[in-house]
Amino acid sequence: MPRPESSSGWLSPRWRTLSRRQALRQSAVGFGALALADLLARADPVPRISTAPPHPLIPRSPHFAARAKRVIFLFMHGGPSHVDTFDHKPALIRDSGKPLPFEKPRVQFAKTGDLRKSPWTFRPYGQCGAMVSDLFPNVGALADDLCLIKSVHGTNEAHGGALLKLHTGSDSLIRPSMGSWISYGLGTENQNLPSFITLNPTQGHGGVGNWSSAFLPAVHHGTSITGNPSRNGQPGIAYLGDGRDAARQRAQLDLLGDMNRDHLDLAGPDAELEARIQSFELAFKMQTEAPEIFELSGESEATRRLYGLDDPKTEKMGRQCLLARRLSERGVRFVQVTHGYWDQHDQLAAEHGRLAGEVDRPIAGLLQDLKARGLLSDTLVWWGGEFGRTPTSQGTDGRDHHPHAFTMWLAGAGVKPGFSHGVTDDYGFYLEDQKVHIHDLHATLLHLLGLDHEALTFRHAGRDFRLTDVHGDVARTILA
Amino acid sequence: MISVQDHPVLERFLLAVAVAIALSAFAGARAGTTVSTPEPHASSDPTPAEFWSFQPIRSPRLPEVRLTAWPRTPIDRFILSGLEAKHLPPSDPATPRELLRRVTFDLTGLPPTLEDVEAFERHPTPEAFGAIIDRLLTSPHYGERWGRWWLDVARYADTNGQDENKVMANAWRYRDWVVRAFNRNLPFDQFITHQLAGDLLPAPPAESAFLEQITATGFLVLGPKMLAEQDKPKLVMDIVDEQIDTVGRAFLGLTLGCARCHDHKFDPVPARDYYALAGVFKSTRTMENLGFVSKFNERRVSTAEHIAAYEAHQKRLGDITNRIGTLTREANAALLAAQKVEKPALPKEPRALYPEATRTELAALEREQDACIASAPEPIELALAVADDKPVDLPIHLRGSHLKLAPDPVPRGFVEVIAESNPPPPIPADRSGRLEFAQWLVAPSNPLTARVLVNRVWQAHFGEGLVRTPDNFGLRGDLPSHPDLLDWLATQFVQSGWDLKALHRLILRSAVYQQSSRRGTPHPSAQPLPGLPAAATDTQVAALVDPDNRLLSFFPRRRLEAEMIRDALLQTSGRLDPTLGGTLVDWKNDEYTPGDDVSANSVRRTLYLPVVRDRVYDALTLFDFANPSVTTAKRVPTVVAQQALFFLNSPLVRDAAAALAGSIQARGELESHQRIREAYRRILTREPSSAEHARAQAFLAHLPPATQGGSPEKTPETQALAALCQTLFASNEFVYRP
Repeated sequence: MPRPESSSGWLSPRWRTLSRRQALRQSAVGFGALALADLLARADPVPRISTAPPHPLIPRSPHFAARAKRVIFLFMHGGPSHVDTFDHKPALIRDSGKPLPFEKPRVQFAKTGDLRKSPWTFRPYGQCGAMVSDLFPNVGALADDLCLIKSVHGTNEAHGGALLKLHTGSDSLIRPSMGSWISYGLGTENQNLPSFITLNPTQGHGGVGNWSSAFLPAVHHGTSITGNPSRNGQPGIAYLGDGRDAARQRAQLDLLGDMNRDHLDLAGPDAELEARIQSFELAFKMQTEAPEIFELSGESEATRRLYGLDDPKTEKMGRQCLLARRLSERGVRFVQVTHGYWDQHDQLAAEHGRLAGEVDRPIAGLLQDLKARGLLSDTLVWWGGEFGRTPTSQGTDGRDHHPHAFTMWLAGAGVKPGFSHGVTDDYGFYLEDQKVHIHDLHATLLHLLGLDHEALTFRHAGRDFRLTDVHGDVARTILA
Repeated sequence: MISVQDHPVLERFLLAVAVAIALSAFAGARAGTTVSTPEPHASSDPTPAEFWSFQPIRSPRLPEVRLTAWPRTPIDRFILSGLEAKHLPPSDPATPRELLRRVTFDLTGLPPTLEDVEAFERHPTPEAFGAIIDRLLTSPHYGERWGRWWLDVARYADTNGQDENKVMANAWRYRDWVVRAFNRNLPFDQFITHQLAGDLLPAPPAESAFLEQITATGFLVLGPKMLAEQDKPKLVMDIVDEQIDTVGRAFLGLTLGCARCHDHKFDPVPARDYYALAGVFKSTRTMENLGFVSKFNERRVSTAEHIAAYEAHQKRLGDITNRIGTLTREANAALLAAQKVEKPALPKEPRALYPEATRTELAALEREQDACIASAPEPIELALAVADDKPVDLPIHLRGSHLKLAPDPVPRGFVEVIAESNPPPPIPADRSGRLEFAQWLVAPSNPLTARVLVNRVWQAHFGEGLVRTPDNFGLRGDLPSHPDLLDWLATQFVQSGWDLKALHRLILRSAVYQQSSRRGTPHPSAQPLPGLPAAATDTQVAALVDPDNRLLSFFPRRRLEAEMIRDALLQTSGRLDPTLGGTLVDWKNDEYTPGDDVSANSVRRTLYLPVVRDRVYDALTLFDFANPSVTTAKRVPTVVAQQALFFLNSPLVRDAAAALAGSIQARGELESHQRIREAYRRILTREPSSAEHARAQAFLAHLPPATQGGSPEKTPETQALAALCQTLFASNEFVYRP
């Protein structure tokens, strides 16, 4: 279970021994005002602020009862093919090699040829009988936990635009990432850790634009952790010390605290100066807590095996999935894991095979582990890429970008297990029914977290902005 | 002593309630209602066209005030009149040290030196302060600081960002132009015109001046673009949209971009206005090509003489190379012809077999070639710049889509709501209308441009503008706290010939700028306010009556901006390289952006570090550096734990502390207590108090030894002194502008 931190967690011992005179004096615009602001923030469930509250990460109540408390997004960068993974199309096998019997889209990234069947066999899994290809045997075995959405569509045929659309709701304007919106809406349960962490994100295709807070307060900016954070306790959070000189730093912080309080006495009450004094105490605590999270050696052999840490092929993704669980467990609101590069314009058979082989076991391991720990009931796991791939062939062994219809799946908190939503046409080219646009997906995601996507707004440049802009319908059919 | 351990939130809440109730009981009696931002949507709102910001700029009379001893400049009369209306006293003046620190950061982005502080402390007169302002305004660092201020608005970057993060290797020429423009105090109306239409102005006599004007138009090309967007008409309209959004917010304080898909929801800007203006930018060439991954536009900014010399040189080099090629081919052919075998073949070193005369001639040509290469002129310089394209009027795009067009094109034009007071010049049929747009923007009758600009300058000095939404003067924007002052400043500014340095002087010489940032230190000559319980301090009353300090009863203390923190660390530790201008990267133009290994290692001013969109140097983003992908009106300072980690662990801070400690330690004659004194003097430009001295002594004596990190040649004493310096660098006193 997450360990909620009380709002007094950052109080250093010195603050607990304030004289009443000092406390009263500071209270004029200081702590008292902060506490009031916090309480007001809690009382008003819909944030409608245009400036940062003093403690913007304090947990806030959602608009209505939340089904999910946190999200793990498994992002498959590059665009995994829907017709080779979760969207089984018998007609595509039957008509392979024939031309597409209807018109292709006006704008295509590249020109594609005739219909092409999947190189992989599909088979039914679980009670629900979902058809999953041989790329994902381990995830397929958990089909009764998955909620497949086979009718996702986006609006951009290039990686950069599609990534930004998926992460921010806009493919051309600078907008906050969904993780930032969620952090802004709900705060976070562990004040010693960032609210929004993205593991191993891609630097291209919008880069930080995909985890940036844009015009939201910077505290909601995603914290990116790159490299291999779990090896030798090497921290992935920028500027985190290794703790070896903790006693020395403690002495520095004590001196700093004295200096800053003298300065505050001269400066008069100032909430920002007080906040900065506290930020050093919080940083010191973060430095103590964070390395422990990245240290995976304490996990049992069985757990490590479950995530595929015993196999070089699955080790990298396995570490990230395991880390995602550890971060979620400790209350981090939004964790993203990125894996790539699923962009097979050619060598589809070989490369999709290799990539799926890297993630199938770790993802299945994550789902099983979350379930076993009781976390799946309030954690939403979300799998997908920025688009699918064309059912028509590019070259002899490839598929092009396809934003017009593709598959994502959800699992866990608040969604129907063993369920399939949405239908593509016979070839998986266009959507037939129950379309779910990226905006709808965002609306649904916020809904599961107890947030009304039309009410979660931020006043910027004269108007109230939303993650879903002026769009978005909650896909109610998939709600459990 | 009290314990807040058991019920901390409750305890603090009760304290706050007690204070609030106590204050409100008498505050109502003596101070009237609180100052709040007027709600812009009250039912008594005028019609949108009658909104304040669309009205002509007035030339208001100076208000009468009671505390006549306080004002130093007309600005102060406006401020004091606002304070007196709410019975709030102004604060006493800042100390000379505080004031010098404030103004030096404000004008140059750098901290003052100890010598400057001591000199001003000896003679803290208004005349001395005036001389300091003049000195700082003529420093080349003024242009660096204020150039960077403009680069926030101009969304300056060295790479494209977005989907294809290509290098814009010539963007720095625009940046350096901006810095030069500020340093030579280019009148701001011209500063605006050059950026929008410098290429269309009549060419000035000096060719270099014209090339500068072309460089200035880089402003329009700097925006991020979806270079791999395959729907190219959409790409073009997205670029036009980015330009309109930037220009609207930067100069007019209007969110014109909102009118792309429909009439503006709040402001009187119909979609028709948007497409009238879109025609102007669509008639402007911003892209060099619309290939698969499209390329931004650039123009040559070398002199004609240089270009001629370069091209002549290229031709000469080509000729020599051709002659070497021809001679070699002929000689080889002759060798092959001489071999009377079935499959003639050249030996490995055919040249040795050439006739003597050929060898001599080749050698001569090669010497000539070497000499030619050695004497090559500099390559032709390119700058991001626009040019006029085929003029076109655009129809309204229904819901913003280029696939759904209204039947009739909208003639190119500007913003109708202010056209009555500021009539637009006609746009000739054969021109884009860019120049006419720029001239219309800076016409004295334009009610928005000067107001928006003086408000931005005010914001840079006071942290907040008189209008707190500097890029939105529309109906959803903030209303001015001091509308008369805003208009008075705008009038002065236009009358001065858009003289920015004169505007700085006007503001910096005011009493309101020179106030203390301490709350609750009322000006000594302020009259006690009637009917007040003695228990209420002015701090508490001000906090209640004017919680956001909109009336400026004290100077707003502010954290240093990202650049200031880094530059101050480098300068204070004696490591800053003050070289002006130029580029720090040798990245190829239009290549995919390589990793930035420059920023972390450079000791140049932060202004010169590459601004890599989507991968801005983290030491800058951490301290709220402007997002370089959009025009930034205001950097909102945050206080987060990761900034504290930066001061504890970053190489930048640690290196600065080590360098400073090393240089202090190197002065072998200093005793331990003198070294402490020196650290305080260098970092905080003041003497330590005796208590601070004792504390620092104890710190140095009891500091646990470093387990690692410090370089082996450093003594434990130097390492301890470095730890002290690092702590001083981390202090609020160092990091805040008083």
